[in-house]
Amino acid sequence: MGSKQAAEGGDERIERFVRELSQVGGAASVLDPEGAPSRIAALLKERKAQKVMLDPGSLPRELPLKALRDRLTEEGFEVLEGFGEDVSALRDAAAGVTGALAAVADSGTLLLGGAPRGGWQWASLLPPLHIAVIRADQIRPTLDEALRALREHSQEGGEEFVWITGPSRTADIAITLLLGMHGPRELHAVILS
Amino acid sequence: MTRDLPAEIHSALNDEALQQALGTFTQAVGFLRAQAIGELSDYEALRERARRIKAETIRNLDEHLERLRENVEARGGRVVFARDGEEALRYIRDLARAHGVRRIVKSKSMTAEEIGLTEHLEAEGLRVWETDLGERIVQLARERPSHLIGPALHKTLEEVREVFRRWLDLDDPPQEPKELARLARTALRDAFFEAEMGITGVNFAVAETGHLVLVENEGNIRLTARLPRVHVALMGWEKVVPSLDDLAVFLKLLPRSGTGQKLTSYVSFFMPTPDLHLVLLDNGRTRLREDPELREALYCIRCGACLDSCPSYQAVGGHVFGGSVYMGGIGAAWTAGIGSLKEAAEFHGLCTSCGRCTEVCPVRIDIPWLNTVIRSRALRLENPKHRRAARVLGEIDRWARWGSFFAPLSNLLLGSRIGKLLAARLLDLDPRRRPPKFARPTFRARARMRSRSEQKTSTATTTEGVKLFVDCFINHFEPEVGLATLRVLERLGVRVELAENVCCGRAALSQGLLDRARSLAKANARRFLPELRGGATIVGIEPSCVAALRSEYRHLLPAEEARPFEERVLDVMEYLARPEISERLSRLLPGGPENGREKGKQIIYHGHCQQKALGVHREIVAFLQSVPGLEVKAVEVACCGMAGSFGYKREFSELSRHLGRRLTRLVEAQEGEPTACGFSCRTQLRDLLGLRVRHPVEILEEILSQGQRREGL
Repeated sequence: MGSKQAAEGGDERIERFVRELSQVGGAASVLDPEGAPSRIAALLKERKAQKVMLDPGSLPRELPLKALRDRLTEEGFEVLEGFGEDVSALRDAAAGVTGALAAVADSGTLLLGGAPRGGWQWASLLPPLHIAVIRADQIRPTLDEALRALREHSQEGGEEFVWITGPSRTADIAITLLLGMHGPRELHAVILS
Repeated sequence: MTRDLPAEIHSALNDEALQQALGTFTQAVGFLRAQAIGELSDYEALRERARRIKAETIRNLDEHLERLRENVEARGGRVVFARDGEEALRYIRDLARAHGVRRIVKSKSMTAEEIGLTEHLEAEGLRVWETDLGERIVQLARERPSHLIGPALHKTLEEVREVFRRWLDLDDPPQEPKELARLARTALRDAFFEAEMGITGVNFAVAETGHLVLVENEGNIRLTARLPRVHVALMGWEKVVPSLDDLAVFLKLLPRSGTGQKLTSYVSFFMPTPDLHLVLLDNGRTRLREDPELREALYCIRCGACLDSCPSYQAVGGHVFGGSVYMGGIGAAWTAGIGSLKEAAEFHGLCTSCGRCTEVCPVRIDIPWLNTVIRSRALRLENPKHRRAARVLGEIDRWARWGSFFAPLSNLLLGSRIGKLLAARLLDLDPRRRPPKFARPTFRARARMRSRSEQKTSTATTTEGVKLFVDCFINHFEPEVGLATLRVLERLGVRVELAENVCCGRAALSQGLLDRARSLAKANARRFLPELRGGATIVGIEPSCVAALRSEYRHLLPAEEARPFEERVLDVMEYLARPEISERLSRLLPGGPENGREKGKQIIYHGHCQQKALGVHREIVAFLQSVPGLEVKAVEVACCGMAGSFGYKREFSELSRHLGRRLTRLVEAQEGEPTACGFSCRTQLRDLLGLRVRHPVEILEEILSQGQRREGL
């Protein structure tokens, strides 16, 4: 009974996260881990992507990584992984797939982090589409809790972080809101339930 | 003075595109901000904490900067202290040379603007691409940013297209903002990959971890900091925060106050790396820190909320209301603090002291007070006319005594063509303004002369009493408002005693005559402190005088002497709004609309800036709306534009009328008699509407006496 209640609380939190994310121009899918590879492949196909950046280090363990790789290769995508400091090869990637350290329901925020200039940074920044895969239980209710998560990771040392709340945007031309200024135009959270 | 402010104001007010842009931007952001702030249940506590953190950090600055330096260096980053812009520029230039840098990408930074970074590096033969879209547009147009977070908000779509035409060598740039942005993305993406150095600012540097925190929406900061091989972060040292917990407070406030977002698209916590060069800029900040009166300007987190809420900024924008770098009221303080007083003196006068800025400032900086301080220091730089005007207007209590004594002769003289001409010639006042009319006898004299019988008929049955503060405006210009106040209070059973006060000092303050204001405050403190400490209540009629006593005395008197004024001085409307008093009023006015025939009295109410600043505006409106027989429509506008002497000064007369018309348009769209609590507001409305405008207390007196007549029949 206690666990059922907790699950309900969790559902509500997921709903809130999805709602907030969509309010800032992002989108989300909630599905079980086995369904994730085909959902990700479908998202890429819809956008006629060719090159896809994958940051396996940050992806949740629940995501069947091998299935995802196989699926993407089958579908004819060129999968880029393990990119180091030389990022010029990533210039024309159409999408980046990363995990996240945590998420915030209150604001629809994703917390990413790791080594400076790591794959998580490039995959979430350079391509026009960013797909972030998270576990439902990574969604925390408030910013304060996310900050606590950041602090925990920070103590491990040397980490940098970014809080991502929706796609890149600007209103600098004639006060018109536009998405996809310098970073991704689309942000899609794949939530593993 | 090198600037011709009236001409600048004139052209800004007549620039339709600018007016539209300012209107759209400030209204949209204002609306979103109110919404985002409304979601914070602990907003006031957060502001208080934010302010305390800033105060503490700047007090113990060396300790926090040392900690930051240790943590940045522990990760291999370099920390450089630059005393001024020149030192910072030299370091960055030499660094570029040492690393063989030819191309630089840069993300918008006010600190970089402050030291003229781009111009300097370009003069050294380096290519510098600004990458924030708005700042890029401004850079290409060879202009200055006009807003802290919307640097190009003043540029129309057509102007932006023209910029793009030259920048990307296009015959016919697209019409769609979306297409323009896409072109900019592609062009700048090349720049990011080519550049060998990236220069960013810093929003917050966390001393305990070494994280450099940057808040943005476009993503250009992330690219600038991480794609090129060398990262230069240029920050004013006031941006240091002690801990991640402290940072959390600011991250809740900055995006909400700046753009009305809960969080911006990206908040980056960059960890220092061996290719980081953190340049800590002083450039006059130490001077500002050692200046107790202007020090709190350093608390600014550059959200721009003060600009969006400022009536003058809304009307003329940041190029007119601003110096070479910083804009608005806070910009005057920064300009005076780190630049020159002379430059600040050229535009600080646009601050009307309305206080809308302090209401929205996430660290509650008292921006009007900073401008009062600047005004007092800049007085000696003013031309003789303005210095003379400051003395005349700031000593209104002295002159008014003679004005009333010689009325109506004094009024004939001042209202005559010659009088107006002299005022224009000698004091640079607007000859189109009608001077206020001196009254004889004064309010004080008429209150004393009132027949004993009038007082006897009052229903003063209770023992509660108040002291009525006699302000110069009521006393010398509008005794009828004072008399109405007396009658209303007495009918409500309140014993009223006229306070034997001197001028509160408001007029002196608004002219920057700080010494005079201080001595007036001391005189009033001597007279009233014992009574106030004994629990007496002072009630004032003119809201700007009430605010002087209640919130400016803390700048003029020791804290323990200012506090009783803060706690025990009330606006008369606020006093009437007290439940026990307003209930009594309701009992005396049982009817309201009589027999369904008569409609209630309809009034339009314009609240005073200082009532809003004191946080009593809403309760006053609610009180008025609760009065039986009164139909009240409140018009919400930031400021009437008169603001004491502001509207009388030739320099600002056009702006004053412009702001006033924003109010009268709303007033004219409603049915009812316009009313206002402020003397200035009534003057402005009178001048623009051509009719006498009353204080709401006069309306209350009217409906009370009607009620009495009905009872008598």
